[in-house]
Amino acid sequence: MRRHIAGHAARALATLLAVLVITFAMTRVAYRNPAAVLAPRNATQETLDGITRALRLDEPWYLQLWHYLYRGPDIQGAPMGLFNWPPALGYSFRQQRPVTELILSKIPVTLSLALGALVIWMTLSILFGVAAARRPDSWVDRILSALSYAGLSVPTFLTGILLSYFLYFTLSTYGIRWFPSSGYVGITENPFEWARHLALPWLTIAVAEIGIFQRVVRANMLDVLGSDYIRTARAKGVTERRVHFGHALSAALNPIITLGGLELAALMGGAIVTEQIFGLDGVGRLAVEAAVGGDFPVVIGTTILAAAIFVVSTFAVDVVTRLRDPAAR
Amino acid sequence: MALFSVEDLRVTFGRRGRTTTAVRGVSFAVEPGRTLALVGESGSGKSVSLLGATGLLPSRAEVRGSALFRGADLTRLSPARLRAIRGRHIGFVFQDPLSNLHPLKTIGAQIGEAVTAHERVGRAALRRRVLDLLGEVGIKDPERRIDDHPHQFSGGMRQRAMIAMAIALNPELIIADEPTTALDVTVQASILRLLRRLQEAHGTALIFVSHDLAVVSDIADDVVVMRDGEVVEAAPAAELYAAPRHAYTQALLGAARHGRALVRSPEPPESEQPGQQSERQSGQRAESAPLLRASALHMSYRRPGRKESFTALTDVSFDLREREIVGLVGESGSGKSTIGRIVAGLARPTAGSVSLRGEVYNAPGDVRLPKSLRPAVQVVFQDPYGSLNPRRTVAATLAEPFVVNTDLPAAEIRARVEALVARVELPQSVLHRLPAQLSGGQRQRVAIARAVALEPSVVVADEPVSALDITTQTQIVALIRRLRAELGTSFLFISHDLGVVADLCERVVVLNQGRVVEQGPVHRVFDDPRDPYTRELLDSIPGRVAHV
Amino acid sequence: MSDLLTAEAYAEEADVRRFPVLRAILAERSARTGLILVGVVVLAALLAPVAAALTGHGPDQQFRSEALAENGLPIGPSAHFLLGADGNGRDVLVRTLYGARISLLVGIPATTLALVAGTAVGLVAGFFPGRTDRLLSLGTDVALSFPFVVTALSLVALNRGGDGEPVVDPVLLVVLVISLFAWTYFARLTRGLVVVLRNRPFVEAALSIGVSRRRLIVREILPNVLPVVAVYWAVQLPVNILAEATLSFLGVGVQAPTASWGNMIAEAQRSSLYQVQPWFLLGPGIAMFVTVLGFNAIGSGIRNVLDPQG
Repeated sequence: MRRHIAGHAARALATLLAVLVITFAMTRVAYRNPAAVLAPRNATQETLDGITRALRLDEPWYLQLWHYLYRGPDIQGAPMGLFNWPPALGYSFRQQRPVTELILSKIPVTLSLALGALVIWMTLSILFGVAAARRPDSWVDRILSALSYAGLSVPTFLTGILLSYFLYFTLSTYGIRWFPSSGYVGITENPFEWARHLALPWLTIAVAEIGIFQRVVRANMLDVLGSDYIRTARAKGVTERRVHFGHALSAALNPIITLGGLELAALMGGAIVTEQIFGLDGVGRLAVEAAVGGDFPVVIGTTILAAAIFVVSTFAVDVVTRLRDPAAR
Repeated sequence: MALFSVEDLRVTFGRRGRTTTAVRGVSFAVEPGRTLALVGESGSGKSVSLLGATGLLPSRAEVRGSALFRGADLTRLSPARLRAIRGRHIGFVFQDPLSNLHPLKTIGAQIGEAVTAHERVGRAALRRRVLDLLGEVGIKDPERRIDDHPHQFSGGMRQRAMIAMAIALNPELIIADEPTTALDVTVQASILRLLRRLQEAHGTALIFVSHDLAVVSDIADDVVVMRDGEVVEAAPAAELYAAPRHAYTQALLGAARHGRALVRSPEPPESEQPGQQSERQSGQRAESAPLLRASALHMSYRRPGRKESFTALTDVSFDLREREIVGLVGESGSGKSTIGRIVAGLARPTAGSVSLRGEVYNAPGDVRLPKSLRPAVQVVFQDPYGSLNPRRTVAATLAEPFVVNTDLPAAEIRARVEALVARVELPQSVLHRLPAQLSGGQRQRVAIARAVALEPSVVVADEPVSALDITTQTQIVALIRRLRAELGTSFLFISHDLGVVADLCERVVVLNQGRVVEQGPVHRVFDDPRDPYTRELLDSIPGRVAHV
Repeated sequence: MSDLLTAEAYAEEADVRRFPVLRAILAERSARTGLILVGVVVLAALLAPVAAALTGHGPDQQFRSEALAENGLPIGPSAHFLLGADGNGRDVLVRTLYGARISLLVGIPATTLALVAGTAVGLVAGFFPGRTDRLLSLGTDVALSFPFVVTALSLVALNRGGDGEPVVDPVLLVVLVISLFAWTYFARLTRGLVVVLRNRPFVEAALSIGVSRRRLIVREILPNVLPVVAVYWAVQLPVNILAEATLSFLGVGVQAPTASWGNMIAEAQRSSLYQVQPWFLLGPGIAMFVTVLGFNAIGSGIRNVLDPQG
């Protein structure tokens, strides 16, 4: 177990390093004069020279990379590199702020969005999936499976637009204003408003995810329900509810945890479409704006963040599923 | 009055309009405290009828007829009332104890659940009861093992844990579905003893399902023989073993007796066939140079996540002579399959070597087998499903050895493939079929045909008949004997079934935990075992005590 | 040579092998529904120029005087504009039909490219354990851990040359970007299958007959991998069609004025016109739903046939 974890951790680090180098190369090599792209509009030649010096743009790219990792650009005497303490992801000359600070300011929104949606979709998927697996091919199963197909077949952006059309726009024409169409209120300021503002975005994400997860839960439950040890439980006289939730679900859970970890990681790296539609100022929006505008320090920073979240969550999922399996422990 | 009586039970499976009938009107009954054996080959409907009678089949199965337990018809009870009977009044023991135990729950929790499903018990009291149960089924040091997970238990211990679950509430009836089939022969004997002891102590009735009349002979009061979903013959055990009436029962009994009669007979079997004459002769040619020699084979693996390596083989040496069939016997984990893989060139030993006609071909340093030698040693595997490519027809599979190793024109290859099919007694019509369209026995014939296609000197047959029904087994054994006579091929025959080995082989090598404990001519080893382990192995063969 | 002839001699094996499965798939309800839906979509894509000719409305043509009211708002559905017009006075119906072409033109090549690359990587990784496997698996991990949309955005941003013109055709770029991510799923799937197959007795039996590694991969392993991978192609295709729509919605996929369902919906959303005139969403929205539902239904139908328990 310990050796396995160490191996996995090494692989995770190698993955991250590769992502870093590739992103760096992609953004740096393709441009003749990065300083001009990176600088705020109508910057003076002096600023451009400053940027060139801070990023050592006059040196070969591998030295730039080394410099980027090892120390990072010096901004007013403070190093902004990954291998410093505290580790930093560089500096956005456009926004005149360190990338880390930018990202940290957006994280609460994205985190609230991703975790809230996770709770909703996991709960509903498990309930629906178990209900469908109890009686395969019954009308309950057929309706749930039709719904899950529908959810799967509508792209997130359409779901978002439709939800905001029906639950915000149409309702508001009747004077009902339950759900705001956009905006974010911090959970510490007002938990109720926080949930009210996030309700539609949560639903938007949940619709698509339930489409996927309901079927995964159902398929795994059916698989497990056909196994010998479920028959043993029934032979002991265990109640059906305990068979489903106590025996079958616990055994069917590992693939669901694995997939859930991947989806959650993808969302935390930026639920871009949902943030866009509901005007949420999260990491996804930051990344999109940076990518479109060519603010590379932010692009690199958000990409590394997303990759790191992905790698960490794969790692966490691996550890959790192993801990759940006594034979692998 | 019967405790449990099944009458005219029918079970059909339906899915999307297509139905198959597994059980067609079966009746049997068991009296309190008695043992009923339900015997038949796979697919005979013996397990399905019991599972159907107790409501344990999946919902797509339709059960008709009646199953009276203490006056109540189980097939008509509500699921809740049926649930209240299962576990409390009827206990179950199933075939493969690993797949039948929940992999994520502790042994103690799973046994405890058999109690809590029907009674409210405090935690401490429950733990005490589980500990008592573990003790009663012969788990040593229950305090330490109660919180283990199934994978930490050996096969025999798992089956003991299953039995503990079944007897937890002291039911009137225990249904044991092939409870010893997945176990080694010595373990099987101990589980049978345990079941008998518990039955005597508690006065429980027992329904014992098995494919093997010999296993049942030690334990049954009454026997019901089933075939294709119908009862072929039902009689008290003593009567049935003494004078089986139905031809099918006679065949089953004959197959069960065949091997075992050989084991203890000092003389060669009376039914000596022409092919076997040469066997005896080759047995006498003991001094001639060996065809294949395995010398001082060692094998150890590094297990993932553990420091100490696992030793699979220690100093294994044996010879295989021209036209000889040597049996390699031992229980699971004895290393017999590893030896087979080394001889076939599929694995490399850590130390030691194998040589064919004096030429060493599989020592630790070799990277690959020399190409000239590869067709000379061929292999047949146990699993008739896995050993043929599911996407290639029999013709394509059998053409492969010629296509790869020869420059024969296509027409010639086709002729050879057709001859091969005839040689293993298959109809030419199988040529265009896929493995999925063949029976297990036919598949094994194809696998054997592929192995002998290039007329190799040695064929390693790794449990080639273990997955087959007893009648098919006999045919395949006969085929191997004939191929040896016709082609002069030597066989290394790996098996856990001493009966088959005694029937087929001239010499035998007995393995225990990766070491050769004894080797020699079959009749010498089996009639006068010198090693205590060989003796234990022989004593564990079921059916020797009673009627068989 | 002899190999070829043997294959010919036993050519009937193909019939035995494929037809029952195909027939079973055609008989499966959800697969049949899916095939009909997809058939309709393909027909729509093929007939898009016909619709354009019949109405006289080119997909990118603007009819500001006819289709826009005096206040600048587009008119609703009418005899001339069956699904109305968009904010620039373009025919929504014709554009929706042309959108089907883009969807299929991006989705199918992207998925196929991903299948070929992923299967190749998976075969090699699965068959050669040790260093090769570790290296290829690391590559798969790296590709998987890139955030899809952000990376796609960066690549599109990079695609702008010095003069602001795209270096590579944007449609081709979208195809490449999608397959750059999608191949990983095929690679993982194939690798998993090969690792299992490699230890199956029939592979070892082939080895002991003397079959070369290449022949082993091509003749023994690949035929067992391909059907599963093909099913996964059908599963992955709708995902990739949605990916194209999402990129176009975000303005980095297929660029206006070329019609794509994604950028049509984006336009409706950006101008908020859909709140007053919901038919903007209707055309592209329903078209996309039908397409994706159709492919999903086919995928699940095939799986029902091949693996009845799942």
